[in-house]
Amino acid sequence: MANLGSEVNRIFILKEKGLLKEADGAYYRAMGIVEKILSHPDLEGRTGEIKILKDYLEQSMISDRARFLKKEWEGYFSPYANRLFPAN
Amino acid sequence: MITILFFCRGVLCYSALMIIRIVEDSINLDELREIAKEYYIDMIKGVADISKEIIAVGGEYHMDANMKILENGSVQSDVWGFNILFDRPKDERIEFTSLINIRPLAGNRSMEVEDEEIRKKMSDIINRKII
Repeated sequence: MANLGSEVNRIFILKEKGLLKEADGAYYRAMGIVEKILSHPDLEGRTGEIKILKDYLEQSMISDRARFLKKEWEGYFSPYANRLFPAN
Repeated sequence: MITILFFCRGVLCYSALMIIRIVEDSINLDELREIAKEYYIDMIKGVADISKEIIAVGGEYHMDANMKILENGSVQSDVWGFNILFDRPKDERIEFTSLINIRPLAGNRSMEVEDEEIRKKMSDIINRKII
């Protein structure tokens, strides 16, 4: 999830810089990670949230609220990043 | 293939992977922190049923607690996701952010609960349950 968070964050950073082709590349990499998570055995029977995540990420790509979405996605992924890299 | 085994004692349900607790009466902060150790340590994810006035806490994703509270008889339209951040002051410790809160048909287009009235109800319920 932390890896996915990095890739999703990259999408919006690239969009802000106007690098849309590169943002598309980050998006496709993010979607690749989503598919891997969806098929992971640990998630068998509880993929509901990841499916919502996938749908919302698709919508985020065509939305014109890039700045808002960047912040929103950062908030969503921060617990996963903190879990991987705890402060203490 | 990994099989997830669920078993329950009262309203405390365990699986091979996680603990989700449905709180109908109350839970103290130490118990909450204990459940939080399983995933996020300094925060815990949860869902609130604003109609039945109960919460479910724990799990890796909000959807984990969401599924558990629905199995307990809640209706999805009454259930909203939140986070509790232990290191913040009491009046700032709730985040009303979750992917399960995205409900365009109900007027909520983002992860944040946009309706102030719903946020107020959630706060009241959560703060009453956590002692």
